Amino acid sequence: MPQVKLFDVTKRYGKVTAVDRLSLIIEDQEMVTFLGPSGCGKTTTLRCIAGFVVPDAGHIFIGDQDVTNIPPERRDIGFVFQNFALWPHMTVYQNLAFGLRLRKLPKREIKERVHDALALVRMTGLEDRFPRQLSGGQQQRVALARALVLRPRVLLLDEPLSNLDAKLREEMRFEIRELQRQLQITAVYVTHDQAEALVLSDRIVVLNHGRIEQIGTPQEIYQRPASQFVASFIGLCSFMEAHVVESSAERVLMRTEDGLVIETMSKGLSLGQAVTLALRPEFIDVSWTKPENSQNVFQAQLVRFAYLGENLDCWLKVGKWDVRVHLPASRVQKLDQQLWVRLNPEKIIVIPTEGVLL
Amino acid sequence: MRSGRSEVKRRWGGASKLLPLLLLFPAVSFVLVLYLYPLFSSVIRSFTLGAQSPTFANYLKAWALYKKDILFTVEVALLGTFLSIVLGLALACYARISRSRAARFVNSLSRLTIFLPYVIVGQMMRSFLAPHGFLNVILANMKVIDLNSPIQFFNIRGLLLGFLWKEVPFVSFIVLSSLQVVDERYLEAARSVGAKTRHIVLSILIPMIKPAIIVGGVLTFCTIVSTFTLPYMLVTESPTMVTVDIAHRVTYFRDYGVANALGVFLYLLAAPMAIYYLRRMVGEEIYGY
Repeated sequence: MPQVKLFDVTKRYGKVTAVDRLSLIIEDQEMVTFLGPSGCGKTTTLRCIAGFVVPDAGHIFIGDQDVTNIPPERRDIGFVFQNFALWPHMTVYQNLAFGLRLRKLPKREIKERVHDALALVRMTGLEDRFPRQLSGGQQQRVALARALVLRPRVLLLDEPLSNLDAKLREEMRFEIRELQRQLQITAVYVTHDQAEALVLSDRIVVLNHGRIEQIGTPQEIYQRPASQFVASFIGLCSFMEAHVVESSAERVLMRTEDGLVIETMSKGLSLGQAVTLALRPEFIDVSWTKPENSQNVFQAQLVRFAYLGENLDCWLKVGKWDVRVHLPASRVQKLDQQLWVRLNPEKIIVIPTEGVLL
Repeated sequence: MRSGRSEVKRRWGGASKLLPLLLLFPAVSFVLVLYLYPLFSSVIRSFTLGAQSPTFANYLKAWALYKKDILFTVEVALLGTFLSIVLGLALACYARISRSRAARFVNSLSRLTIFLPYVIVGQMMRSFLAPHGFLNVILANMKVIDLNSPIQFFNIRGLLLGFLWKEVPFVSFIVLSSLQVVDERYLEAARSVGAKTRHIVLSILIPMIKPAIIVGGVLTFCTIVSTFTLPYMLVTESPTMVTVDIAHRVTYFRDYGVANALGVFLYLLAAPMAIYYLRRMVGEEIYGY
């Protein structure tokens, strides 16, 4: 399976730049996810790779072939659509066989390949059904089989799970990932669901306003977000604005504008530098009595909570900042409760921002 | 309280049963008086000849006098419908797939003909298709024909051209409305598996809008079968269409028996189409199959 390479791909719709000089190399057999909010350019980029949209500038390669101006029918891609797009007048068998017939394969081979593809997605026996006779999950599997039966060079998936219910979506994530590994196919997946991206991807490309905010493995994106946007988009995060007041080999101290002094382990920061501190809920220790070790310990007040079942999603006021943590439902008694939070210096994500406070 | 409610129910229950019937009455009476009564009346009169009743004499006479015209009507209707569907479909598919300004312009321009009455179309076609009309002059200038022996269009050729000029945009209009609601993703899915434009049209678009094509075909067939003006103005030789014969029988001979027999023939020609249309379309639209 080939690499997919994008060089300075740009697509504009009137005055809006949907994709802005996007460059990226997707490795052979890699599963890359485009993740971002609505309108960030992820689907447009995918459609450029598929050939449904011709970029205004830049080049797209599949393997060594420049496919920028090649129509989709000659790109040898498999595409799975958000609404599945199964042809309603054709049976499951006919949906899968259509592309094979266009390639003028012998009838016996068509039959074998359709059978194999349906077996792959566990849909054997439903060949004669029409799409309207299938459930959403089954339609999704057929759409996947239709894309795979042609043994394409690249598999492109445009939010294929967004029309399914939550439980099925979770199951299908693993199935798609397993299939991609089993077939060793290069795949590009578009989603706005961070959980999907984390489960499915070898690498995640976070997009915003048509540009790449960050590329990295799910772990890198989650643990070391490059910007406040990435930190807020992936996982739950609370933010504090601060600047560096002490920087030495042993420790770095930050001061927020309301006077909280927070120790972190980040390096390469200069005195006075403005930073954003990103705090994941799982790295904040909460206690109901003041801890003996007072390093990075601050008093907090419970201002709001939401029931999540076993845990409560809690909003704490630390100084002037809102900090979100998850607490056991049994421990939370009432609003305005006084608590203590400890911020783990090693787990505080420090994102340098523009400008230096002197 | 309970007895009060049941009292209201008792008093208004009868009215609520009558109300739907009252609401239906204008429409039903309209159909009965203006459609079914004339239909049955003409059918009965077609089997009546003076004191003889019932008789097939009118039918035998109609067949003896107008056999050629009856076959001609069937030929024009089938050929006209087939060509209207093919050309209308081609025009609509072009407009749907191309989405260019040129396609939109051609499509909008063609729509104008839908709103022209057949008498205007007939008049235009008479000047356009005359022996020394615009079309023959153009063909002569292109050295395709000699203007001294021009192509004769005042027969089935001209009639078909007239019907196509009017019906192709109509079929295209109906078909395009359905094509517009076909989700673009279906076409993209076809392209992603290697389909070219002709595959998309033949294997995806046409099967998906089959009901609209059938509607267009049925309506076109019924229009062609029942149009009087165009054959009256454009066909100057025999055979001609049955509608002209009906007018001829009534105007010159006051022969309502044969005219009604010919009319029943037109009903019989259109009825299977109407029945097929109603059975299939109503079933699909209401029950989704």
